[in-house]
Amino acid sequence: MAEATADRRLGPGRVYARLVGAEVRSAMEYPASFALGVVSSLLLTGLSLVGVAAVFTNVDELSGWTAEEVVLLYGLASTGFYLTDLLVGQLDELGLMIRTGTLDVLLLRPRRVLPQILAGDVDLRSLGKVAQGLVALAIGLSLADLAPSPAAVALRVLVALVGATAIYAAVWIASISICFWLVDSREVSAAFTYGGRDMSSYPLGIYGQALREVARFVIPLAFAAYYPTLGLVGRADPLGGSPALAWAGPLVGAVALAVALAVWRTGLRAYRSTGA
Amino acid sequence: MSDEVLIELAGAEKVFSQRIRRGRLRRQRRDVRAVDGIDLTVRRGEMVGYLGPNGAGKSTTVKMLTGILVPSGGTVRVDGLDPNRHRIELARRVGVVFGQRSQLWPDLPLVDSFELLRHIYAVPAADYRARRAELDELLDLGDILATPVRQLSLGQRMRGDLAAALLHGPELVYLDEPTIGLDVVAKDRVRRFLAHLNAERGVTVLLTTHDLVDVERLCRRVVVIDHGRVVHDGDLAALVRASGATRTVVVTLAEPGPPLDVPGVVVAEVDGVRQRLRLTSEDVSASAVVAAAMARAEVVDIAVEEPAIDEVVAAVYQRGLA
Repeated sequence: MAEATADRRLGPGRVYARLVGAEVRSAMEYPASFALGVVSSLLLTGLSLVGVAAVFTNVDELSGWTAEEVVLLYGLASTGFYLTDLLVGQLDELGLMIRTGTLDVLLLRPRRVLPQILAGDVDLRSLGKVAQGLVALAIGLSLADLAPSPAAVALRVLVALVGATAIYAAVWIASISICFWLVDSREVSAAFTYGGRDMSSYPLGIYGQALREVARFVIPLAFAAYYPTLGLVGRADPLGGSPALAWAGPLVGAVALAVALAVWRTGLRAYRSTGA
Repeated sequence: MSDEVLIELAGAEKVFSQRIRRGRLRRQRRDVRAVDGIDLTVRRGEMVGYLGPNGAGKSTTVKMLTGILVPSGGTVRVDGLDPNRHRIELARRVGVVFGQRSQLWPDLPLVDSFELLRHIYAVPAADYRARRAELDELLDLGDILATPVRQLSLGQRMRGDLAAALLHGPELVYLDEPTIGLDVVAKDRVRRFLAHLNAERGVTVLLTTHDLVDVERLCRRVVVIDHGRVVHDGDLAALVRASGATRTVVVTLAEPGPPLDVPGVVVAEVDGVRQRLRLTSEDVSASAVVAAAMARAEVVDIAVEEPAIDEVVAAVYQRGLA
């Protein structure tokens, strides 16, 4: 009985909060280095936005999209992606954790492994990258020609960010799970995570048909930023999708997360039955 | 020690499949039997030394006992539970120290790691306070609690890791090389602490080590494995007997002389006035050897040396190979 009450009092949420708090304190042991990290990651990721600008010095439209609209698309994708980075970016170390045995230490504790990884080693410099995305988003929102009221815009942006974060997190969790079978597969996973970020930062129309189908039906990156941006600027999907798809992000993200967690569990089981 | 069985391995096996390079792209699969049919029973309250050369399967055994790895064959039970299926439940009752791998948060003061683990293990506040007080005293943690773990010496960090593994009051502890890299004073402190844990708290301990002094000082029972199999299971004295290693009578003569001709011994070394006479079997009496030596030469000093434990284990490994 006593143990049951103790468990409730110290539920997973509070343990997560404490572990993240510990990471914040760790980062603050070196405040100057932390500040420098935030600023430099803000500037470095901001270079992608310069890339978008460079494209539009040569062309006026990108598969029918104006520069303002693409900046908005980029802002949504980037903010969503780096929020995800903040929450699950620690997973990039999975291969290293398997090699060095840190994963085994987590398996010795009476908690699930995935939350322990997510709570450990949070890279707070990602805050700089999120800030960069928000700047792009703000620029896009102020320049683009948006249809309805500010409240409607805010709701659309909020729903889009929730959906994008869930979708990117699902891609991250599923692709990093490859490490359970092939320890040195970080680059393969990066192709999906960072590749997915780059791909969803541009209008779907610029890609070939095969890639478009994948982004809509297999790895649902089109729901992260593409459809929500179409909804924000009040434009019909040239690929024939319903306007309602702009709201589908959170639902698609939830399904994708469920699939990703199943992949993760399968991977962890494979690791434990084969060893590394 | 009670009769209650806490750990039970029956024909436990773990086979790893490795890929070996055979040219640029070709890989050949090879099965490595890290644990190859181990039978082992540990009762509550025992302190067992688990020895074996590198790659013998010691760590793999511990990983199967903690549920990190699933056995490929045989059964593994801890307090009647399958550690793989009941990993989280058993983790609450088991403590583990990997000597070469710390579970502490390197950038934070030691006490912060304790606080985090308290929440991870959901230790009730009163229990936590009581255990902290005891561990702080036994492991002399007072001065290092506020120090970031990164700045601790190896010995200090090991004391921190030991405390961290015991904060939730485990009834069973796996220790993997807990004295590795420590100086003599630090080793002694850790050993005294482990002896206390076992004797006073009744904690069952499985101690994996390369340091045979650990075993000599702490473990009545010694299990030696090699190539994934148990090659010895018994008390230390039986291990010595099984190895065929024997005692040595060291005599110091009044003046240098030729090797003494004494029945039942081999003269292992002549170093000036000192001669080392190794008994040919355990049945030879040391006092008879001393008497015989004194009859043949003027002896000024005598010492009897027990066989060095690492030679004993080396001998057992050799026989395990054969």
